Amino acid sequence: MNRHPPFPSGLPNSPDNKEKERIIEVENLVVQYPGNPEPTLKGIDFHVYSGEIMVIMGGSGSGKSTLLRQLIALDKPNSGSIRLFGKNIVKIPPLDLHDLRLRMGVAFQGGAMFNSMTVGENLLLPLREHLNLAETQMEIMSRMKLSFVNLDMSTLDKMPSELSGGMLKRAALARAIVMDPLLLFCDEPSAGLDPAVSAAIDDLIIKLRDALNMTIVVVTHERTSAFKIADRITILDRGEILKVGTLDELQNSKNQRVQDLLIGNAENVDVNAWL
Amino acid sequence: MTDNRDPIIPVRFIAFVGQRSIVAARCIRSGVEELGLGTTLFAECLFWLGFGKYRHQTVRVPTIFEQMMEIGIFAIPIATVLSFAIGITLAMQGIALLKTFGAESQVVLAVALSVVREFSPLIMGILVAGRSGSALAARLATMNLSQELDALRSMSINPVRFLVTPTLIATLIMLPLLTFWSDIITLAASALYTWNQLGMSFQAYGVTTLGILNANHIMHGLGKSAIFAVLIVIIATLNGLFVSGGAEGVGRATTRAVVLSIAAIIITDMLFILLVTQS
Repeated sequence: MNRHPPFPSGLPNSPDNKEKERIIEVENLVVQYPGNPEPTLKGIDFHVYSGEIMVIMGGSGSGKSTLLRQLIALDKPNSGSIRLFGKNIVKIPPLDLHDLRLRMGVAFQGGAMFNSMTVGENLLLPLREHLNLAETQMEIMSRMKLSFVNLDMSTLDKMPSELSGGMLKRAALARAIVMDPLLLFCDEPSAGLDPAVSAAIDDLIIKLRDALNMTIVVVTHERTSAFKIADRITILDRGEILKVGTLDELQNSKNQRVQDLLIGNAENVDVNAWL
Repeated sequence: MTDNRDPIIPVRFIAFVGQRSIVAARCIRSGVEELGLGTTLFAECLFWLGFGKYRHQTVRVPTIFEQMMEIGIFAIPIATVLSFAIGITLAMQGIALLKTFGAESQVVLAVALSVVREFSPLIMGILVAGRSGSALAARLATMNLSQELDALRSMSINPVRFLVTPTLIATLIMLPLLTFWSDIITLAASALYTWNQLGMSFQAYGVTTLGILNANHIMHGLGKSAIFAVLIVIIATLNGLFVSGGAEGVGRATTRAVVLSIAAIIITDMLFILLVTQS
């Protein structure tokens, strides 16, 4: 398997990782939507180290999208805490949340590009809103990010509806990193793309980590993609964390459910839930 | 002899009444909830307008101007056509009605007061609800479903400040201006028809109209249109923000926004008149 080398030392409990800064710390996170008899997330605990790519995997209904919404502070949990850069975003004052959000970027599954604006205007929007810079400086910044994600400069004048699926994902990544965030969240970055384009997006995520030293959290159900890019993997199953670790650790796990989910064993796993 | 009456019928009737009562109670609760949400949304808009800059969320003036162009300036052609048609219609109806009393010349009074106090704000309100309210609801609903609103939040751009507040301010400015424009066109159209039918000169019509109207009458109409502006934007926003169900949901939200806006405009108009005439 053409797998990216794991995060230095790889092991979460190794001395190296103990010294690493924990960028995200989730403790006993419980989320229950009104009307649902059971919580969607049942006491989630995990952390993400600085500079690593953490992949959150799980099938449909496992709670990974709910977890992502919690991590990017779009929703509030029923209980538990989420610390980003040491600040509990569950009880954070609005101004601190504003500052925190400037340090993180989010690439949504469908791109979530503003359809009434060109790609260039999409990239410029956060810069115009939050930075007091000259227009030319901001244009240079947006062009740099566009070239970083290997998109042609002519893309700037195109509307999002004119882009292919792969280009749209790249443009969304460019917008997510335009403010030079320290932390990047990607929701299903390679979903719905053909294998070649999907592999290119995976390479791009690794490049973002290596070149810009970003901490990246990727939510995906694509096993191939996850195994390629992940330094560590969190496996979510029915609202609970089944296992957190490097791919080697997961493969060596004696938990049959983990093995089934990793292999996609059709006899024991609802494979459709992963598609 | 056996009793053939079905003993179930009263039970069914009670069950039917009970079920309908539950539905009615749910409707009332949902209405009260929407009223509360609308009030909160309006307060939030005012908050961002007044204190946005202290939260790094300034309401951008260029965006307000863009919306003013969209809501007001681009609506001028259709507003003019509608106002002209209404002016002619009112004059026709007025002259025909007053002719029975031999008081055709009083058409100036009837048209002036009804246009400035009632027709212009009402018609312009309905026009803006259909044109801009529906567009706002559809835009917000689509943005909501395609996660664009989430994207805004994740970029620390408050959607209410960024999308709703400029539209509210623009509508608050442009709807009264459109109403004033409609006053002028409707009265001019009425004057044209009156000149044609009764031979009353434009000058005489103008002087008579200005003699009838005072600032209170004009402010009555403009004040109402400002209230309509708030209603249109808040109702459209609520329907857009709480959409569900894909493309079909967007259609439903848009239709609901327009229907509720028009209903709210007409009911508010009635309450406004009631309040003004009683006081």
